[in-house]
Amino acid sequence: MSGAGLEKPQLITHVQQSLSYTVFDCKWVPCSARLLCLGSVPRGTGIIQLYELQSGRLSLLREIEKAKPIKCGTFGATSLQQRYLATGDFGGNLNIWNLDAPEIPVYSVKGHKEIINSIDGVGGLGIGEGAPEIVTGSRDGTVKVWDPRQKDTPVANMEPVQGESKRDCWTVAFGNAYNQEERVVCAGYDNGDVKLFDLKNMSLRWETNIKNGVCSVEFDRKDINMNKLVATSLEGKFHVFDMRTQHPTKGFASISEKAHKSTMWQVRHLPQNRDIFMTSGGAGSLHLWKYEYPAQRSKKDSEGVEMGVAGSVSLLQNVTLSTQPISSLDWSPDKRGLCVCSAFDQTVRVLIVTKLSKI
Amino acid sequence: MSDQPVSSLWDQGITKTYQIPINNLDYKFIEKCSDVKHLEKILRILRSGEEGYYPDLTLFCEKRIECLAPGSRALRKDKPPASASDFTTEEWEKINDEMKSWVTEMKEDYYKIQFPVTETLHERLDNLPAVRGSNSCLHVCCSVGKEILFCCILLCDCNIDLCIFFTLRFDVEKECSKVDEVCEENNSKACFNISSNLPVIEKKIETTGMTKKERHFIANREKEKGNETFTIGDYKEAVTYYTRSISVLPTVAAYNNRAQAEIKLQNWHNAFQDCEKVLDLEPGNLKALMRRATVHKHLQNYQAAIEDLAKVLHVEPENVIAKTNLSDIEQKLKDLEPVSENHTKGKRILIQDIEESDGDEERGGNGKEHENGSGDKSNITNFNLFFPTVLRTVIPFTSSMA
Repeated sequence: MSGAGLEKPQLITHVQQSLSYTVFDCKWVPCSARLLCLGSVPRGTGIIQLYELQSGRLSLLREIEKAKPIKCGTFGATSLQQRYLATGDFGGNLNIWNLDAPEIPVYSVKGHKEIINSIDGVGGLGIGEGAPEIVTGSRDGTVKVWDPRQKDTPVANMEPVQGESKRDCWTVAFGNAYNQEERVVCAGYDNGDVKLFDLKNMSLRWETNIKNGVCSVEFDRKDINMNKLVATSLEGKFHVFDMRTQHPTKGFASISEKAHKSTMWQVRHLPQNRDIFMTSGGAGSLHLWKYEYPAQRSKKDSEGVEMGVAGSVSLLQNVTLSTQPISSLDWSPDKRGLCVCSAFDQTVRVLIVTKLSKI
Repeated sequence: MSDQPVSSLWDQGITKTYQIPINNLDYKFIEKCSDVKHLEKILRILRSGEEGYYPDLTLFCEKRIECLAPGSRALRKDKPPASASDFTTEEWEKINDEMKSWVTEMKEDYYKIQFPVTETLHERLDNLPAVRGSNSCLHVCCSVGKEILFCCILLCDCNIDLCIFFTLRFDVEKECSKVDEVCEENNSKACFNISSNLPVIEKKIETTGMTKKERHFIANREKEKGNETFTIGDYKEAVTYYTRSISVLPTVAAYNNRAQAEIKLQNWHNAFQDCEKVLDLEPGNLKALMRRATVHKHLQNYQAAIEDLAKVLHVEPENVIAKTNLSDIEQKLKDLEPVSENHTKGKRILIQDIEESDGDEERGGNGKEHENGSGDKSNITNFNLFFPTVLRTVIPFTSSMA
């Protein structure tokens, strides 16, 4: 291969671990070399496993079994000292666990009538100004925002009007949390709708439809003035929206890119560089991308109204890890280039991505 | 065997997919072709093997596409993850050692954090903003309701399936009247709320109850946010993030970076102060010296700039930027000199100027005085009188010709 190939980041499988259950989500425990796997055991109960990286392998530290299979989890709304895990399960329950005393949850609510597909948190871990909050999106079509200080009822609830058909909400993400008042929630649905809810004004700020079911949305950084939003979908496509300039009718500028040849399950931005992100696909592949900004981020349209200009995306590297979909991906917030991914082949892999600091 | 992908007859018709003439599956054609889409189709046919298996031709076609369009999707291949064989032994060892040391470090730190949660953490938890929606009142609900109906109608028109309305959980007993004004504002806000106001980012971060590690983490994160905004040219925003980083934990890197952002915004005095701070914390910091030199240059304190650059070159004689800056400043100084030459009548020639820095406290003084001197075009002797402290040998050479 040409010499230029050596300068590209390389993805190395550092550790691979086989599991005896279906794993739906994997997350790094902040400020540590530990990771969590959340999933569903064959007998129909939920499981949380805590692993630690040790001399080239993962050693199991704890195993916690719960009544319902667990679909997703986040550390986003907890402080760096407490590190409580918030989980959503197949029964629509939102629970917050103290992993040192996991018998009884710190907070628990039956938030939804059906499975919670996606969860996100903001305001904890030193990320995001304002109160810590958790948002959950469920198959019952609602998106609810919770504050752990308020029991039983959400602080905001976005649901379809009576009589309208409900669409599965597949993914949720927080963003724009740059001061104490501002916050937005972005939700993606199975019919391709992407909606942006402004929590400060309690209004729908923007919406669009990307023609295929939205599997994953993420802002490049939750705690800055909204900069970019990536939405991945079925049919191997993703869209990058430039969120700095909103046009009254055209909304946000975007570019789209095709890859993976199958469903793009997840997108995750590198915590240390907001312009690099990784997407995972249904054919077991991972693609590492870099976004480049255009020369001018906004321009005036024919009527003199500001509209955004989207940049371009280039592929830095791609690997195929497995034949089964890689359903979950998480970058370590403490070490640049370290990430964990879990696939439906019941394996969790820890990867190292080299040369990211040189990009 | 792979040279002529056709059978004995010449005009062989077209391929099954894409209907491309078979003649195009040929080295000469591919070499001359500059239509990337066409080449991509050819590549797909070659890779699929339906017209035969021609590995060299496929490779040739790939190279051609790489020449024309390196970012082409057709060039993407499935590969397995990298392994030890893709790296040199040193690189591989380095990667593994880095991981080991990081893991050990994180393990030690983890047990330190396991200490009982600080009392101030609870204090901080009490200081958090109120739970969202606890100040809302009925009026908000109604006005929002109207807007949402409007919203629903709009959405139906646009053939979007999902209509959304919002329920707010609120406590009716809380002060409604206070919120009346807020309701007025909310009414006037459009459903598609496009705020053209600049975001108000707090310059300080609340750090009560945080451990040292937390502070470190947050300061670092703010600095990285600043770096990101700096790279795309939002210098004002970058300065805000660096200020936030410094408010949590003052570091040399954050001050240095903020100085650079202030230079881009041309706030020379702010940049100067930041450079001074860095040099207080770390006296030999090269970046700070270079940046201070740039500030001096723009404030036209050339002497001071030269000194700073001299210090940098003392440590790093090969520093290209310092060298160019230095010659730039020397050139500027020279340009200011010849003014006295111009107004000599006859052949008054300035033979020598030997500049000496007399170790003046006010380094800026020399530069400024120098400038003032150049404005005085009438009399050379006056020139000398103005600057008694400058040790300069000027030999006016008056010829006999008038």
